[in-house]
Amino acid sequence: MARSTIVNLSVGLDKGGFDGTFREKRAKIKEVGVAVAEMHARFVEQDYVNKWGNVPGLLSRKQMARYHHKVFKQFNIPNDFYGGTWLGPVPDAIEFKLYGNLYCHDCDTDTGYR
Amino acid sequence: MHRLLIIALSAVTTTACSGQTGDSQTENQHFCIPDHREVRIDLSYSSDPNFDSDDGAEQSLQAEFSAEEIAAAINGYKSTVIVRDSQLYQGIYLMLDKRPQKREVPQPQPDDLQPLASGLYTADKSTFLWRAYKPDAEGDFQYWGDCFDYIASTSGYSCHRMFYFDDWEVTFEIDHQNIPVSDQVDDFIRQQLTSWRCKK
Repeated sequence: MARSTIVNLSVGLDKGGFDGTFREKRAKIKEVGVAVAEMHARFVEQDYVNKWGNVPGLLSRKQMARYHHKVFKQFNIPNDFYGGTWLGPVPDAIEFKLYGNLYCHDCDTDTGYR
Repeated sequence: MHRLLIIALSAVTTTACSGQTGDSQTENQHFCIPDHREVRIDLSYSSDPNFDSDDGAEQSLQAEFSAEEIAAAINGYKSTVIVRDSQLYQGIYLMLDKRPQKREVPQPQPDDLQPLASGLYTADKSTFLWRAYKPDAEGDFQYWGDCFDYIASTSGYSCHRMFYFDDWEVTFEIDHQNIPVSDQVDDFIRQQLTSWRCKK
């Protein structure tokens, strides 16, 4: 998880009323990460099974936003935190541009992957 | 070009309208959803070839309810559940998509369906995604939603409940502990959707 993502989730949990120690917050951020990964897998599976979109199993930007919102809601993190900043009025378009990528700003490159 | 198209479509489909509840709200796809309920997704940034197409995204909506609101409205609804030692709030994130969304659901033989403790039935719970069915008033099994066992958990599952409202496909997630009151949840959501129809 990128440092910016951890900071973002940390502030998001605060906004949602989380009140814990540093250690508890670190554990909670990990829980959010696991829940996001699980929801990603579910959305991919549904997309694949139902053959949605042009490529079954490949998610669209709308689907990505939706599953992040769903998980954030389970942890009381405001929707605005999907996008990379806690500045609600800032459009996602600017946030995503600022952070360089929609989702995988901390992912590896595809070099050598088939 | 893509960006201009989305902005233009937004301008056509989104216009301010007078509210039925006194809340500020915006007409979008013939619904007048209170602004504090609607969740907007910004797709105005440039498209990314790593993602699937957002075709039809302008014909979809999102809305949300807090866990406390649902629990206050529905007796027996759990506002939080524990999954993998995490306390998860059970608010509802409603996803609406214009029909028909491709969904080819197999119709199993009644003899193949096994009852679950939550009142649902399934033919095969061994796969990652498993279909849930529920008998209607006539006793015929109807597709109810797609369910998933929780990953890295010894028990428990949640379902992506789906039903139709007018020409919309309505989907939301519900934990297995709240499925016993899912009919009331459906009714609650249908009431909300009905109240959100824009008055002409």
